[in-house]
Amino acid sequence: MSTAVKDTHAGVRSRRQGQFGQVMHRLRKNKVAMVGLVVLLLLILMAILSPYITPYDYAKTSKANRYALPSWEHLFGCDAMGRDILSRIMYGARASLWLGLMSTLVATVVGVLLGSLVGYYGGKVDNIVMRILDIIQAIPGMLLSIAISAALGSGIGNTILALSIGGIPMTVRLLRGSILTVRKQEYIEAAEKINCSKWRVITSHILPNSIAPVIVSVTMGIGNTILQAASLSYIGLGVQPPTPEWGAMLSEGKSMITKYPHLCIFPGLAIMLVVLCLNMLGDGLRDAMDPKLKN
Amino acid sequence: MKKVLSLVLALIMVLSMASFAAADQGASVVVGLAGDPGNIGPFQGMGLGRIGILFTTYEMLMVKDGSEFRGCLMKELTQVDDLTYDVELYDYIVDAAGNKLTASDIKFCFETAKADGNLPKLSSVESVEVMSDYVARFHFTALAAGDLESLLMECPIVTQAAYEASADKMATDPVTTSPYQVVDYKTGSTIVYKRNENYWQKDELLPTTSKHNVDEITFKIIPDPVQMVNALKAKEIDISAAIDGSYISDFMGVEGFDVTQIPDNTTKYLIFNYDSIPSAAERQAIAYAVDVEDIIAFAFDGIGYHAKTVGNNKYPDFVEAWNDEEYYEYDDEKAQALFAEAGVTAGKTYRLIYNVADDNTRIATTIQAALGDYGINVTLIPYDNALFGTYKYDDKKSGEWDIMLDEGGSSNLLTNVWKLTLDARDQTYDKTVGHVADEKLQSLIEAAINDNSAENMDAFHQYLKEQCYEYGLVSKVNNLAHTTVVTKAATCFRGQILPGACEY
Amino acid sequence: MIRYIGKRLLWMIPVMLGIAILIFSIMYICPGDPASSLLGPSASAVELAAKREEMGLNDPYIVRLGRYLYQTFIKFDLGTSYKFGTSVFAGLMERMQYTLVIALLCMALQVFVGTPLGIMAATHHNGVWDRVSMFLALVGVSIPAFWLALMLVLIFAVNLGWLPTSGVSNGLASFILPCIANSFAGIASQARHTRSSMLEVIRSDYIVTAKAKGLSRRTVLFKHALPNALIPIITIVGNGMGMMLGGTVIIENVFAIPGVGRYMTDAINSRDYPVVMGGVLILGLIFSLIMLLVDIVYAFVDPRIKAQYEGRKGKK
Repeated sequence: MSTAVKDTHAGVRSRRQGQFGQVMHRLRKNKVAMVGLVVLLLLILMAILSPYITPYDYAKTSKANRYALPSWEHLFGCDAMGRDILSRIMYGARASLWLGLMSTLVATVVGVLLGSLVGYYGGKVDNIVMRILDIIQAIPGMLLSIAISAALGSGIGNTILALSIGGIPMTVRLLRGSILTVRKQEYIEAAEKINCSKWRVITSHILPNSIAPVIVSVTMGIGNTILQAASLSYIGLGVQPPTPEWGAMLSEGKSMITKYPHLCIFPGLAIMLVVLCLNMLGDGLRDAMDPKLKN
Repeated sequence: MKKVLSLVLALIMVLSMASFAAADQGASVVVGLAGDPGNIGPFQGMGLGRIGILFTTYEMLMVKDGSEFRGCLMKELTQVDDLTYDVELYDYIVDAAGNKLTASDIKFCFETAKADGNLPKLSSVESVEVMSDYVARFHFTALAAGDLESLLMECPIVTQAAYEASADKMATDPVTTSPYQVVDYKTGSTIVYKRNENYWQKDELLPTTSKHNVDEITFKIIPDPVQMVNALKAKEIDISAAIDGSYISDFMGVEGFDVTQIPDNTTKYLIFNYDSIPSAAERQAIAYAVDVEDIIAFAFDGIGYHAKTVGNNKYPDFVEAWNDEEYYEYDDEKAQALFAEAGVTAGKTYRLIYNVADDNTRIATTIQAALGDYGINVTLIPYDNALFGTYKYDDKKSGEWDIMLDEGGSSNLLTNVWKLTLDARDQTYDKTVGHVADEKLQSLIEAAINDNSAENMDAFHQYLKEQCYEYGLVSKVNNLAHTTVVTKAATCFRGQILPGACEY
Repeated sequence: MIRYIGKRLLWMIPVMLGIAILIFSIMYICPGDPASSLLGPSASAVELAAKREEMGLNDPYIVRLGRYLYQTFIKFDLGTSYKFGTSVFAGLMERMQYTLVIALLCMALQVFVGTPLGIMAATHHNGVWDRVSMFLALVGVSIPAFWLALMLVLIFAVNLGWLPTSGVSNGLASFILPCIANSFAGIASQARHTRSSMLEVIRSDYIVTAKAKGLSRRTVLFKHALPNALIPIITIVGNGMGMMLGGTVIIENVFAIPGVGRYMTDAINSRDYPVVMGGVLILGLIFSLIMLLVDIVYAFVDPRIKAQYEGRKGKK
């Protein structure tokens, strides 16, 4: 299908919109992916509105309600300090989603910049950047995150940084591979022949045609990052209480898991729900963007 | 399919190599340890995991038995002058390798430990002189009240011959005079001790720390608190001092289990930063505003008690009368009045720093909620262990906090708890940790350290309480949960389990 | 091919040097120092300052970096752990045995359970099997490992008493729960990757041709489609193996397994610099070697890539 490219700029643009439209059209037909998308949007809405819609103050402690089991008053029960778990989960969506989105975004933006650089220029640039990435990738991701967050201290900004650095090499590799394939196609040669600037070739021709695998990996990456953040708070790093964050809630509740399982079950389910939805959406996107699967 | 099968078989072989034979049946006990002792050599610093195995591994010149000090390797202590003491050893001490322990080994141990620099208390030992085979003369540079005992208890003793025979400075395989010897150490996992059948001391002269009521002791390192509970429930361990307070009820009065509660020697306290909270009324207001009973409920599941000073009330130099005094019990009216007097209004923000741990996080959150009732914000600044240990004493960091949640204890005297943060001489910047440069406070603490008479102790305590430079919150209680294999649990003065002294 | 391997091996020298400098710098910036964890909580400020000076922690960055690089790359000595007092290399190797067992077992579970699931899903594309196994796989990648681990312990160790709760002293039985908890996500992702890789191959021209030739469905699937579909799986397995050898921090913590991951995180927390730096270096080396191995295996399995190397050689 790539041979159907027109060599005028306007043509490329309209085709791109057409491609986008096609992808959206195919995505819309995928019920599973749409369910994932809708639930995600609802969760994001909940996170934005949480200061106004939580049933209780997420930080309000109460001696009487310690470890209260789920009831009509407290649908998800209360934690070790008598705080309403539902309110904390609703409010915690802000930190958790923000953390997942931002870390993945940072990793993706840096990754795409580097990826298009090395993918297009190749040669020395490629060699140097890829060796630097080898260095980062050779350090186990979890350990790198732990070391970086130990170096920077806890807090949401530092956690985002710690989690995103490990994700950069993957994005670069994906994009680089994809660009190398696209670059060999005739239409890129055509664009180069008609004296398009390098920058223009990269942004208007190469990137749009090679970004699909990155978009898919981003959707899946967000979920992974939320899980990683949960693991970081399990060992005492990452976002620290009292800011509610699902991972931190899990780790706070973990010492009670056999006695008051509801402290862990609900934040655990919340994380699962998001990761599940993101994966459903990611699968759908991959199918929708894959020209071979076009029916 | 054949390939798959052979791969599975190969895997099983790898696994069986990694496994090891189950321990022999017999009189043995398994102790669950939360901290990792790491290097178990004699001259290492006092990490949390290390305290747990210290008295099973080593003997010292002196030990503390209940509240009383007594010789362990030392038979007699004779004062020569103010700063000179003669230590006479039992003349029949041999270590597990059969080396005789003499006065020259004592000199060797103190000198090596001092040179290694991991036991900083020893810096006040000027020199050790060998007087005869079994008498060593200690010269000290200075001795405050209680220092003599703590110095003689500080350094583990081994024979020079055994130490020099070890390839790794006894880091994994110490040979000692103790009734138990390490037979297997899998770092990060288990340490197994077997009873030394040729132990030197007569039964009637044994201090608690050297008792040996069981043949084999295994320390199992379990870092996860829930897994500690699970291991005890599944009876994979027999006893643990690290069962989370909220699970204690699972073992109390339950068939096959028992719980012994023993006061811990550590106390949680607040240090106010004088630079940002110079007003005594403001510090007092915060103390009144925080309900310690809430902290005990939230952070310690109701197990613990409100301190009466900066330190617990089990030390011999604690003055009994303080138990009946008022000590900033929660009082809303007084707090409001004092906040008003200090000119603190709603919207004020304090920065509270603490060491990340479940209980500290809950204490900090409780304080945050309590001050929130007065419209005061509290920003929590948690640091990991290494960082907190560094920042706590860092002059440059003192501008970054207003209140510090700290924890302290000592093996012998209350003055040693106070010394940690309240004696300007122990800081690098001539102020207390809370940045107080108060001559009266300094002269009072020096008086109490030099002579811990009830009068001196009371003078310092009353002044500290009135100024509220620091405020004692909760004295902790250790929960020793054990299976009924252990009929009576025993602990050392540091609140750690003494498996050899437990009854079975 | 040999030239290529040689070149890759040579490239590893600057990469190792880069890893060493990077991790050294991170630990240098990392506030907090080993003195406080060595001397314990009852050491005073003056005592800590003296210990720091003695350990050479007050020297400038470049002096410490130079000392470290000289010791590591000229004398080939990773140093001695502050906390354990034993050689870092020996400590790593001792702990590697547990990590290796877990990594091998998990990879085995991942490959032998995940691959068939994926194949099943692909061959029954859009059928019930596909939906069920892919839903399970989705759930699998969404569960936090420690949550699953603690739940498994509760059921199989505490309530049923079939398996030990933690530790490594019960042979194979000690590793069952950790491996299941750890490989759950791996199985799930393996199944998903196998499925999509399989689907892609099934749709490709040569399979269509094979079908058109009238070969049986079975022959087409297992003789033609599967071997080709499995090629990308090599990368995933290699990658997963490399990562798992870096230690499975969470699982090791929950199950009190003295593996590499716990060794390293403890070291980061107590600022045991020799362990952190030596460990990262060794793990980086292992990871790079595995990646090289993956590329070589790739070349042998995939004739297209092999042809590329030979083509390159031919040009020169």
